[in-house]
Amino acid sequence: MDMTSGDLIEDIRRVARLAMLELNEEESKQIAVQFKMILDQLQTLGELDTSGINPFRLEDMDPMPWRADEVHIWNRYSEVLSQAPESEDGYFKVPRIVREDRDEK
Amino acid sequence: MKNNEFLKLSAIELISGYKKGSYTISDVIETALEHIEANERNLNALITPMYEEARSRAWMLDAALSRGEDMGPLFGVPVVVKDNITIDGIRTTCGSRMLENWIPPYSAHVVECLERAGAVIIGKANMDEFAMGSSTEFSAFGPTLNPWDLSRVPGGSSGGSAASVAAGYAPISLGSDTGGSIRQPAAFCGVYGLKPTYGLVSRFGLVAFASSLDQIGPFARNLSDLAVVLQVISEADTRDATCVRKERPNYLDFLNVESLKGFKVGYLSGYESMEIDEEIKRGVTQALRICQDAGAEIVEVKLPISTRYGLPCYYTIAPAEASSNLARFDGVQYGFSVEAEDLQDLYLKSRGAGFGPEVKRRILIGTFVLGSSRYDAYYLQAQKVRQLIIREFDAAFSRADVLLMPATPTLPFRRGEKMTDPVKTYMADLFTIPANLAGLPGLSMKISFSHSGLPIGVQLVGKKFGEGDILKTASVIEKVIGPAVTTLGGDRK
Amino acid sequence: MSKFIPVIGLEIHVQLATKSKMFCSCPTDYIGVKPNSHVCPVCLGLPGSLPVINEKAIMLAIKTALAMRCRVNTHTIFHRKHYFYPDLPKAYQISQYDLPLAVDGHVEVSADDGSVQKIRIQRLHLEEDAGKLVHSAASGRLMGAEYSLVDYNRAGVPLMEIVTHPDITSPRQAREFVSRLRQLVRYLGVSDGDMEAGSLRVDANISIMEPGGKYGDKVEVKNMNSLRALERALEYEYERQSELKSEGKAIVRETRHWDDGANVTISSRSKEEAEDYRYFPDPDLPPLVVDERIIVQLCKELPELPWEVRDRFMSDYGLPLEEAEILTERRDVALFMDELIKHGAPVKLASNWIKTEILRVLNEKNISVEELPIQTAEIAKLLSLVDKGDLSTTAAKEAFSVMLEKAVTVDEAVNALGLSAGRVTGHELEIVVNKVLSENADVVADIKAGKDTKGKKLKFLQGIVMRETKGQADPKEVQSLIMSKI
Repeated sequence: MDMTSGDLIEDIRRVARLAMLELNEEESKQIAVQFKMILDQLQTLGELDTSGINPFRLEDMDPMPWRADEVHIWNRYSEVLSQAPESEDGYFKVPRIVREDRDEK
Repeated sequence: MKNNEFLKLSAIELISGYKKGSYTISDVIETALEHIEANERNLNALITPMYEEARSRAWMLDAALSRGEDMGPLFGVPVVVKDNITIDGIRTTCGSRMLENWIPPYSAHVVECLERAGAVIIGKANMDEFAMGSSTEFSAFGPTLNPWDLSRVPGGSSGGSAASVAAGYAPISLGSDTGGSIRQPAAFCGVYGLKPTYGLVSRFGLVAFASSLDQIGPFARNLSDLAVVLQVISEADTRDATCVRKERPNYLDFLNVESLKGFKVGYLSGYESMEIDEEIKRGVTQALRICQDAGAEIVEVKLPISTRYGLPCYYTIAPAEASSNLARFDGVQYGFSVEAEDLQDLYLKSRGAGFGPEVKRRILIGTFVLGSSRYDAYYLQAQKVRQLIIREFDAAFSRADVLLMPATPTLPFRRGEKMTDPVKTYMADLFTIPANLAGLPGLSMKISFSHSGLPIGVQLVGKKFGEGDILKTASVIEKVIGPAVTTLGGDRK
Repeated sequence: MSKFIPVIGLEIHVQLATKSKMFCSCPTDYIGVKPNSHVCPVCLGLPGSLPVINEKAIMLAIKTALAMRCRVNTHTIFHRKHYFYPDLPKAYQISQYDLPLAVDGHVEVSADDGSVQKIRIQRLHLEEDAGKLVHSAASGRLMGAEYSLVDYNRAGVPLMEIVTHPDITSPRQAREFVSRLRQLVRYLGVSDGDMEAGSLRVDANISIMEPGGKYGDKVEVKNMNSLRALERALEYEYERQSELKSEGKAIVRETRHWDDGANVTISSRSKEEAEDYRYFPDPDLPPLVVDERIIVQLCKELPELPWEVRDRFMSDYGLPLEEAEILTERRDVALFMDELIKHGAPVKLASNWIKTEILRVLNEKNISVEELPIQTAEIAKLLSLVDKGDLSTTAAKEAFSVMLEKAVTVDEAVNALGLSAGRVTGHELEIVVNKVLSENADVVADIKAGKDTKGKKLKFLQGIVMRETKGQADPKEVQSLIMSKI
């Protein structure tokens, strides 16, 4: 996957937005240089023939242990709320939601 | 006994002194705390020293001891815990501005185990932010220095834990190892550091970096201490679905073997031609000779895929998981948060300012490789390569019981030396990463010192749940070269 | 516009009736609970916390899958689905992606011509619910709110998502499907299936096509909180799309919200770019392996399914479809019907009695049959008395309400009401007849004068006597006694 640096910077911008990371100009530039080096490394994996390899060997792995359906009340919830940057009436508080990313339920 | 002598004692020696009444737990803890206070300005191994907590716990344990209560295998032993492992009521920063003031209302499973065993936790160790790094320079709380040479790094990400043990803050400490974060700093600081088999030690309370690779493990200055801590922290835990339920052996049983007859030690074919420090190569040869002298058969094993593709495989999977694990730090529930116009702004700014450069870099890489259009080419391909690496180790272990190899390609590097080139820095993990990818146990231990006085480490890698084989081999080596030492009191060789 | 055929597929989220959450031991009840009080480090996604799956959630989902004739996958995995939103504490949802717990099932509904049609189930998988947001706007809605409040009590509650193929061909059928599914999960004890309370949520994908033609672009409709809303929303959407198509306009692929007050669907603002959820297998959760024996066992334990009970009621009890549907709507009521018959109650009477009295009481008190303070045998006995003519329907109803109120037997209720079991007869009846005749001397005179050619006046007297005896006299005895006195 060859990318010109313009594409790469655009890509980084898009990925940064997806990852919710604000990057300043300098960070973006610096990361673009490093990104290219790192991606070049990662792409060497493509040299290996992995056809027929099952990436997740479900049968070989230890199965997931199950928990009995029992209720335990954790009574320290107020300690969590007390560390919240913003809270109100027992709720966590968040600023105005502009983009409607999700349905209201 | 001069108080300073406490700092050189092993956990087992300390306990024996408590039992004999030679000194109290408070004596020892007080000495350790004074020592920490005197050295932290230079070393910066701890993010949060726990002076008050340690003192009152020591006092409480002394009282219990005088009542003749049964005290557990680590009673009165000072322990340092890496700052990505939660302790109820003590801030857990992960070396990040993001969690600068976060106080967890629960303790990690390993911390509960340590406390049940009677340990006295004296501080939270410095680390690369969110365990991402190999030098402990990526800490929001300043770098930790190598106690053997303050101009050099102690390794990372568990640099604070390794430096604490080397500098005599405590005989044992806990770190976490995702790609070498225990073994590499152990090698750089000249102590023992063990990454257990994936699934042996519960990750409950370990702030996740890369969940399929992370494992908590001990640092110590001798194998007996290391084995005791492993025993204590490897208690099965139902809160971690990846923590195996099988019974653990008594790890102390593997020490004090006289011979390695019938035992096969594998060495990496062709590693000599790799770019590795000559003194480290000599260290590996020396360790192999000790094993051979003890009756072990030395066999050649090949790990071409692991050595060639381990790094890119790891640097795909680990950032992918990290980008997911670190998504929760968004300024809503806890942690660093900025004043924001709207929700989007809150996310972008809190995360943008709360995370350091290396963390951001890895989150971006991880987000990139998980993108729906790139998933197959990057993430899935890396998982497939990971399977090849597992197979390669399976084949190696059909020939050998343990593998002996370098822990690091270089001796401790100078501070600031590798900050700018991430790919070069990632090379520091070359020999440690494959064990994480394959879920295998790995131990690094000091084999000797370089001409410049820096520790030289070697690494032993075992089969899944082959901690016993590793301890057995290491104990034969320890008998010849002696345990690790602190940098205090002219012990430096 | 009838040339267009609606093509409808449904995605249904069902909240599973477990005591504890999907991956932690917090209680699952969140309605009317203090905000953020049923939470723990796991469902809050605090650093260092790890998920451990709830066995019951797996069992309930498998039960449902088996009842819908799905194939259960013995080896499945959980993925993480990523997006930033305050109701999602970890910024990812643990869900199943390309390896769901079960696939390829079906549920039968009626076609518009009355025949049976199979709606194929594409998949059934497990996932965790998100928290709830409360918006500060006066409307309580997102738009215009200065800030929002977050409650994580619902975060981590187990959900089962069921996805159908686009086999549904009318809004009515969509409604029937959901109604059947709701009935099923209730029969299985898998969920309370309450749409209003949000424990059963339906999203619909609808497109239209010309007969034999291609599928059109589909629109996703959300926010339908009742069966009625579902049907109306789909009807509206069908009309809207048909109109657009008839006018040669394009149908935009989008998500639309049903506004129940305005009776319309409203376009949600389309997203700037397609969401990239960055799915990958959750490394905290090893594969979910379900032993074949568990599946076989759960299969054996499946209760008789609602449509099976309905068919049996029709064949064994000779009930018409509509009546069988009513009696089998609820499993407790259907079982009660069987019990009544077992205790000797006649079918017709039992059926009528359930439809009128029992369902009324259950609905009024919002209770299940098990919560009725009366033994089934006693109700059967009551019905037998009515059947034998020992009690009139009116008297039986009175007795029934006494039984309900005082939790007494039939005999006790009858005694308490003075409806002494048996009847008013002999001398006792003669006294009543005498009284009635003397009070209605004018009528008696008319009869004597031969003015009762049609027997109406005699019936009138008879009626009064029956009323006076609270229906406990034998009408024939009353008639002959009156005749003999006149």
